[in-house]
Amino acid sequence: MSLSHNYFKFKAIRDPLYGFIDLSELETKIIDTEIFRRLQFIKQLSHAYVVYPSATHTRFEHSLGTTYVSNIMANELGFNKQDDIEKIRLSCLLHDIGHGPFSHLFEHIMEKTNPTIEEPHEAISKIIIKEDSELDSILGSKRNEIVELLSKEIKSYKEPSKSLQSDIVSSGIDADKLDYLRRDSYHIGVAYGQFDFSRILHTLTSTVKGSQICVTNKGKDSLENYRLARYLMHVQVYEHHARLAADQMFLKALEIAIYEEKIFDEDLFKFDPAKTNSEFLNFYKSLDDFSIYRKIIDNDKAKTSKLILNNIKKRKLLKRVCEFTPKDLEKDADVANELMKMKPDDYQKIASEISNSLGLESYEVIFHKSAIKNKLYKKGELLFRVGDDIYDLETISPISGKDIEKYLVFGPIDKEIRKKIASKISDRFKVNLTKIAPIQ
Amino acid sequence: MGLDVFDAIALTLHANNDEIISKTTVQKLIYFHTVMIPNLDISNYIHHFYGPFNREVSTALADMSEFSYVEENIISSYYETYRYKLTENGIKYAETAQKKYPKEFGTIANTIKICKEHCELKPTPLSYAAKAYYILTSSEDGLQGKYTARDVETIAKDFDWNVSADDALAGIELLQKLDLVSIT
Repeated sequence: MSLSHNYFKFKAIRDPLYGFIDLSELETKIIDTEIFRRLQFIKQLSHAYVVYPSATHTRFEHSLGTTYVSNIMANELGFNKQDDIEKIRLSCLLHDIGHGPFSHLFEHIMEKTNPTIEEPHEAISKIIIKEDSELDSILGSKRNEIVELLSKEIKSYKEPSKSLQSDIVSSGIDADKLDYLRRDSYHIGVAYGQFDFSRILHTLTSTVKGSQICVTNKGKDSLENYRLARYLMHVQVYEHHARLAADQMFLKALEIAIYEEKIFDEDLFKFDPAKTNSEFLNFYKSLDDFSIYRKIIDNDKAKTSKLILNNIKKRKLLKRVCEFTPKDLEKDADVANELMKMKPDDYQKIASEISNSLGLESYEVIFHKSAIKNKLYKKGELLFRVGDDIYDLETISPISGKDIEKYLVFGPIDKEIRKKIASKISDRFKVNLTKIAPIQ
Repeated sequence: MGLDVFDAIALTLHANNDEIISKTTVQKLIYFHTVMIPNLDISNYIHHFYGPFNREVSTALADMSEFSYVEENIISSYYETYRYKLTENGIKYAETAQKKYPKEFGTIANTIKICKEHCELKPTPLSYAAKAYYILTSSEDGLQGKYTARDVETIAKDFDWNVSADDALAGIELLQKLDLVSIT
């Protein structure tokens, strides 16, 4: 279908970044569904508000923003059929539909409860798009195309055009990142996430075969700017230690509520992509950042989980005991081997081991690995094009970025107790305590 | 339980006097290992700008460097080429893995010997062979598994890869030596 100028202008919504975001009639119906409106109650940055009080913007406005950016990208990349643009826009509008309360934190619970399912968040998105009756009545046959574009399974060499469309939804330069970096930056009042947005969009192009997003030679510096912005947002905001403390406390509360206090029936969190999941879907739809707090705090069975959540609400957060990197370990092959191969459940065991040995409650010690995977600094992630030749930004950039991994330990406010925890950590992992920042 | 990604990296370096130059060489050698060693527990290689690529290998190599099992030294900043060398702890790790997986280590050592004879473990020729193998095993083009070097050159363009017929032929020759394809 050729492009009708007014098709995507059924409704205009104000947005602090773009002025107005136009939506089609179909998109307007989607955002008014119960499952989509739920995103208005899921904060984009989880508990980052404990550090940045205005970090309370939601997945809802980010989804609208991503849709807006995707349309510009589609135009710049030469998509001019209404059907193609609609498919891209809808995929971007629905790209976060599978998020649960506090987004990525809830994924841990879904992974734990559904261990055989890879990337449950993606699988839940598919289930919602395919099985939610309200969405079904609006999307009809378009559902399958959206699921396909969201699935990251399109083979570039088989379907170059679809692969390029998929890159708009998810790739090194996608509408998601182009929106959230600037949106997060705007809402919390830091400048780190700003980059030359217009220049990137203006120089967007594709590889010779038309299967991958890249920029022209003139856009390569704006790409450098963009990936640095992403890195700095991770360091300053997404991995801020106080936010991590609140996030991990919440996760602990949720686990206690589900697996120990049995406030929720664990089976409610289970789903099967090969079957219909109406009960799961009804339950999942009822969950958002606010309802999950209420469901726990208002439940008579909640004791420890309630205490932890109330502590987060009062900003009585666990405090940093220490942080260390693998380089701070004294040379001990066994310790290095153990730590290198640890999984999230193992971190919890370490925390319990230390809390038990000091007579503390298990929720009073958190052992957490913070990892900033600088994906956009990896070879072949960001490309630019000169004539018919494609180059890797990494090979001409003066700036290189490696992954940053560190282990953070949190404990009670009492300084003496934290000193004891630090000492246990030092003994357990043979960490040189003089290299650890002093307890404040 | 089979070898994990850390074992594969340690044994690959150990089989070549405890060091390998270039991240790409490590990636491509382990790509061949995944085809030849059934109990090597690594996720699938995916299509990438530089040929078949595995993020797990990339992350594990970085982790092994962080945890001081592998020493990473830059030898060409222009080409971003690194030398990966097992440290004392890394050698101990590899020796333990070798005892645990002697047969698999034999396969790894043999692959490296053949690749070394073919191209001195230079990343570009290994990359051509890896790309050719990826094309031969992923492409659905109706050629029923029978390809000429010219076919590989043509199909490579669909993957956004530049592989000339000569490069493809050299890559296929290595694959033949590794017993991964037959030439008729």
